[in-house]
Amino acid sequence: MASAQIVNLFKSFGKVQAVAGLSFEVADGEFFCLLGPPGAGKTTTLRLIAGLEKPDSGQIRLGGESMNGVHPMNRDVAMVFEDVALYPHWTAFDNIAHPLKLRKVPAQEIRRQVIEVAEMLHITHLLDRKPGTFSGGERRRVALGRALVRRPRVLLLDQPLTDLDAKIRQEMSNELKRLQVETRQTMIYATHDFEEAVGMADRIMVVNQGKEVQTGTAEEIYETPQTTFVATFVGTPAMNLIPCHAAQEENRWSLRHPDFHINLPAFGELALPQEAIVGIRPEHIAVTSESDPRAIPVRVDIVQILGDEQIVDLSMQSGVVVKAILPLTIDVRPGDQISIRFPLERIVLFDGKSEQRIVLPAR
Amino acid sequence: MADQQNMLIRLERLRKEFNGVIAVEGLDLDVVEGEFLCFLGPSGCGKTTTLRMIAGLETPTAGDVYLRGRRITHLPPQQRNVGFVFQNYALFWHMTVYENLAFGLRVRNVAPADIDHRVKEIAASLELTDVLHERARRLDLSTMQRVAMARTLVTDPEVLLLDEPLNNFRPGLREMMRGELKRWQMHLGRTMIYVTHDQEEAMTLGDRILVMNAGRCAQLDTPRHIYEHPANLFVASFIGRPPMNLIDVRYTVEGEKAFLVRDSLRLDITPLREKIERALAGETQLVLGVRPEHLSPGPFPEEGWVQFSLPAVVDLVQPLARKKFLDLKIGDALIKMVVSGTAPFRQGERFPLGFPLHRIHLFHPTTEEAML
Repeated sequence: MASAQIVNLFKSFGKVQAVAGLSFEVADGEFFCLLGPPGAGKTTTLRLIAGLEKPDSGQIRLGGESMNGVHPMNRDVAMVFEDVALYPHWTAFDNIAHPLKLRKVPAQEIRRQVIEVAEMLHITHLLDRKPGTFSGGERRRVALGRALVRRPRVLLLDQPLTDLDAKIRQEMSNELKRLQVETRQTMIYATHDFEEAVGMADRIMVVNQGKEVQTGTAEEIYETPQTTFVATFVGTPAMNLIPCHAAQEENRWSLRHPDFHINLPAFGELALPQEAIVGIRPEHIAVTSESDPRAIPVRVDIVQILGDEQIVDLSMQSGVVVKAILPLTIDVRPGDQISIRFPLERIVLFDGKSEQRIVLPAR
Repeated sequence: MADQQNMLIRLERLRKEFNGVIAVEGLDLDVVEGEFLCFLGPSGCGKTTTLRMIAGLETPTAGDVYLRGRRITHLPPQQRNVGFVFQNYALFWHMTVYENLAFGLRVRNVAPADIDHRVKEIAASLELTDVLHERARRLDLSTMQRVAMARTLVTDPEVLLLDEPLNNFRPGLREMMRGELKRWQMHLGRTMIYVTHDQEEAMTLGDRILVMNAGRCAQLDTPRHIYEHPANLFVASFIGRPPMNLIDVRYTVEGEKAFLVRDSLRLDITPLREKIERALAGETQLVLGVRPEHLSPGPFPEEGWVQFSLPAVVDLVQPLARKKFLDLKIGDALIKMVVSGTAPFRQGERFPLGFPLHRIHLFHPTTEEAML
């Protein structure tokens, strides 16, 4: 296993700029995730690392060794695709053993390694069967086994869990995380599902239109999104974004909206753009009493119960709708009039034009 | 809940076989007018087959389908007055919204003036008036969803049948579209039957949920009741994210006290002694169920809580944005716990584990039915 360095990678297909200057570093043994919408350039990036595409420019180094010009066969990377291709007339054992046979590993040793991998993936009972009768989840496991058995320098996973049933997807994402923690296999995982990324990765790079938007741990990305794109892409329901006017009175700023005013505490030097966006995650919206000076009156529109909490759509008087996640212990029904507030310490501010986060100075 | 007055659809001992394989078996169901009913289950549980039998796209092997008391079991789809919304919406991409909406009326030979009136009326009610002359392929997803609903509603069906309509949307979009769908269903007040394998979708959308397993009804109830009182092991293990922890245990009595035991792991459940003994009727094996979100690290209040005799050890921490999923080892059992995203748990950490007694679930080991 090895580290990976990607430096200033570019790739276009005709007029489409699929990858536009990506740089990132994956540590040896790290679980790294590329997260972005379809068409963000995730798959192309993986294919470039695997050597299945040739970059227009940029560097790819695995274990410190430059891969430019190195044939895919000689890169020692394995890739698991979204649409799994197994040899249908071979047993699962032979499918997994194939890369080892190609390397002329002794039969005894092949057997040992295949069984070890199969045990980790809970597929020992499938080893003598052919893929024709396997479920989607079983096929993914066998494909994963075939990639893992090689102990490649880097394992590339291209949305390996999409189109599985929700329950199986969640189970497999948990298993994959466990497997990675146990083997410390360097993995680069591409997905458009933020929950998958957040649940598995040590670090995440959010990509959009072939470019890096933000890189960090799951917590950093979730708690301090640097752009409105990240704020809405990561989290369900997405962060509420409410455009406001920023106005200065004496030395204090306030954020004004027809439905509410938020008075910011006095910060030393603070310059806000006139057009600002207030961001607040649904779980941070608090129910308060009518007499609270910060109370925002709202009407309950829709209540979606989810386990021990509920997703509630709330209309403010101007018609703007915000989503809140409330504990089930708060009894709300469609049509109810209630009061909410946005706790100041939970608000994330964005510039209304550039859509970049505005970092408030420490008081 | 289904009195004769507002009962729209009734299924009676419905059965469907495909080449000797039983897809649906002995299904009874009343669909109440105006409700949002979800069919939930894993692939192959018979949910789509049931929907297709209501639509008339499949013929039952046995049993009957009634619509407003009229037997429609063998009526072709076009004579049933039910609307079917397909996966991915299957709009005519090259046509305008108007043409998409008018299509179903034209093939029914509705008079042109009437078509125009009905298209405009349904468009207005679903806020589509402004896009009537846009081509379908140019629409954003949430508008497409409304067009798909409008196209089905324009023929004024008694019920709208939706077969996993959100299946191919990426996460995030899916939740957004789900909220939209709920909003429009409430606005229109139409009866809808919605098929999904995603428990979260069923829980948030449905007024009631029919959980299906191997062609049969596993439970039919409101989302809240199904969550709080799963009728059997299958429902318990299907609902919730992560699903309920299920641990095989043995019931023993020592003096005045009653315990659930698994090797050296014990749980004092003396307050439930009478109830359990009545339900066990001499058996000693049973399955303990606790939802991951109901587990909590100690210390615990004296009253109303139970605590495992062994500490839990954190085996794996899986952050999930505003939550964390923890895999815990307790004795030889591996269980899951959900905590808030900011809770600072680390791998290897040990702590006392317990839960409120009223959150306990117990299941019979052979019938798999809930015991309390």
